[in-house]
Amino acid sequence: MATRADPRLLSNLKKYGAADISACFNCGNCTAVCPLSQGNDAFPRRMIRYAQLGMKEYLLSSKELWLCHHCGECSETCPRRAGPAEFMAAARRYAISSFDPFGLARRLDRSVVSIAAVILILGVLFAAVLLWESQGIPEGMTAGFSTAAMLDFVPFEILHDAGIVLFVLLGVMALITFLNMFWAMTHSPVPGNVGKPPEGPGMFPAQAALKAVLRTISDVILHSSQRDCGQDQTSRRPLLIRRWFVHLCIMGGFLGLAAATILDYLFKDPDLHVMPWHPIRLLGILSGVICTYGVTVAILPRLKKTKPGSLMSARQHYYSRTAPFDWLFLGLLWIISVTGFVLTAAIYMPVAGSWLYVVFLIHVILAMELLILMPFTKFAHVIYRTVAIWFQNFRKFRVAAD
Amino acid sequence: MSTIPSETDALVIGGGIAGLQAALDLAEQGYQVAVVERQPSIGGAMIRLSKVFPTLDCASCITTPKMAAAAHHDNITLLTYTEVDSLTRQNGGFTARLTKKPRFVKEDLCIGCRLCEYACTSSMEDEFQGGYSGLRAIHIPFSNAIPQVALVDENACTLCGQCISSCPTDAIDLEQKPQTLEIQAKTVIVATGWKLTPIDAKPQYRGDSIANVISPLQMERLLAPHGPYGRVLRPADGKVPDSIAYVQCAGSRDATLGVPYCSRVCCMYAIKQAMLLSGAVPLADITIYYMDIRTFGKGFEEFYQNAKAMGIEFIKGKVARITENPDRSVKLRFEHIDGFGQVEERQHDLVVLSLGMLPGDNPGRMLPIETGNDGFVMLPHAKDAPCNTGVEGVFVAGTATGPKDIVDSIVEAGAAATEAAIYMKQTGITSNKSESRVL
Repeated sequence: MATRADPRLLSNLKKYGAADISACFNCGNCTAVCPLSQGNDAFPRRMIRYAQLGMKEYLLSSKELWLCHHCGECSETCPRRAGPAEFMAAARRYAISSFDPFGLARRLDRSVVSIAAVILILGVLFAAVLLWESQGIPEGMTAGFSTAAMLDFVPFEILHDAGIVLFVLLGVMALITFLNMFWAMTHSPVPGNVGKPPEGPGMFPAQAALKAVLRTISDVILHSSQRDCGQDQTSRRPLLIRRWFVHLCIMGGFLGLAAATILDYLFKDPDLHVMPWHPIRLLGILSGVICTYGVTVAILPRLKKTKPGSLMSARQHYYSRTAPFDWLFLGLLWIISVTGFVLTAAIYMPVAGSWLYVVFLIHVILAMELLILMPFTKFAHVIYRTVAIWFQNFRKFRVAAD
Repeated sequence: MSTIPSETDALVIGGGIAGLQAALDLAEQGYQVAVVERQPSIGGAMIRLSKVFPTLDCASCITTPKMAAAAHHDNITLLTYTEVDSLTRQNGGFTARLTKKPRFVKEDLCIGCRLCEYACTSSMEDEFQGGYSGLRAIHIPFSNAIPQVALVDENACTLCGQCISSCPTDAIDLEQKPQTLEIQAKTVIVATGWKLTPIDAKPQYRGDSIANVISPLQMERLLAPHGPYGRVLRPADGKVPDSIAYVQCAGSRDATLGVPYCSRVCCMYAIKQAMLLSGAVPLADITIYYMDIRTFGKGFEEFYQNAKAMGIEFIKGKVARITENPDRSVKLRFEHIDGFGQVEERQHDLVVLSLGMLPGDNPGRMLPIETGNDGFVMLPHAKDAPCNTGVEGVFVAGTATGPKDIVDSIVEAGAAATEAAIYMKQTGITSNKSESRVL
């Protein structure tokens, strides 16, 4: 089968952050040093080779892009200092852009100005919608700050309807990007990849697909592959700051908050003031604490500057290359977590002030932005990684079951 | 001692194959030459080798006659176990300050009978034999060392005094102190050579902690006819290895080790050792893991093709991780690039890390010549004057300028000798007349 080569692929990838990758001389050290590379699920070198040869379809349809958790060990040991880990991160961002038909991800990746503009435009838009029927900041503040006061400021009906519209929009866009990736994966030209099940007797496809779904859910919840990632394995850092644990905190906290919000609307009058030990509220508070902890621990080491060109440890490699694209996701998440925390605290404490309503507005607007931008930011890995892990499991079941 | 000349025509720093060749080439032309060698014996790295590529000649059969020729030459003075502290330019020539390290044995009295060795009560590791055999604290460095004079290792000696009473010539003097010497020379040839990349340079290879992961010089000794075991055994448990692997580029072409350059000899010495191993351990499987094979010299490519035809397996892929199995065999993890690029793990009984060449000494510390980022001597006119250092009257030969093989080192030594001779002729220096001594 003829392969279409894209001569601009490598230079395009460099714009996404794979600056040093031309130095690669294909020794394979990165692949062999990676604890997640097993058998034929081998990366990063094969991905780098695809990029060097302009094999765009091969690169984009490689599930291996998403099996990497960027521990940085390959970059630390690369004989050419070609930064294979940074290449993988850049290739993932390139893939996010490629699967996004709206061109938004590419803009967000390339320029800080675009990020600021998008945040601002969406912010003004959401503020206008939310405050359309606002009764303004309650006067006198004698009643203090409460759930009910917040919902006077931003009417519940508007919040509710805006939320539904937001989720429908998000659903449509996420589905489009998901289908784009799924189509690429199932039509992959990579021999022996997901699109072409290997020879020999395998599990019935539907059965394998279902089993793969179950295995993928458990993989995602248990962080099975990230726990094997080199950096956490070798560094023996305390559990509380291991990357997989921090990620689990962020993910778990986020899901907990989402669940609390949904349950709140389903089983309780949102206007109603409840004590912190009310089960739904308790879930929200705990999730908020866990999520804030996770995001903070993820951000802190990224603030440290390393000297360019110096020999870096895997960990420094990982943190030193945090791009605006990464900050967009982490930053939004952090501000949302912290403002949510402040608001919850304010409800139960004798404080009041008009600033709390501003905090509430920022909290809601940024949460809406985080959600609507999901397919175009780092957040999109929720879709892509999950799909890639599913394909990996699907293939395993197809081969193994005989 | 009165036998050390206070002046000479040429001072050669380093008594390896390049230094000896340069010294012989100058001495044959009638110049007086002093060779300063840091080690207790001349011969350098080459005298440790078993055979040389691509001809499979016996290394000591080439080196020993050169060593003997230098030792017996009327115009050559050997200063072994001596360090150059500084070299300063004076009156158009050079003044070298040397420190002669104490052997604790009087060189003019020692007859090399080894009775002291038999009497000695303490022992130490024999570095010459790769650490695989032992030496007495008082010893002659190795069997074909020149000069055949004993020395005492300060750290191993217990000062028991047995050697003193056993010596038939009363040569042993445990009170000996370092001796400072000064030599005037008209020209200097730097031949300070190379050293191996440390075996623990790449932590993922764990060369310092796995006994069956060895250096190529250790393998040379296992293969040498007068090696530590007399045959090839793996060091951890003395098993005859059934499978032996070479990990290429283990000490060069790796920016993380600070050695981005190619050491030029590793491909060929690995192939050479693999060939010798097929003779020494005929039933063993031999595998060479490489990034790419660089066989650029005369007869090198044919040598490589012969090795392949002999059944030596070549696998493209840089080994990334080495671990030890409970049975003391060694596991290599690599990407099989010639296959589908799949990650594989293979076990071998014995693994040789093909380590690279680092500069042996820093000549810049003793004389004002420039060295590059890699530590090797810089050549300001590499094309038209490849042996000139940039300091007038100081020439350089062999691996002091960068990694190279024996043939190239010897060629360069001849060139440096010629340059030095021309320099002396042009500056109107006539040769001294003085007696030669082996010290």
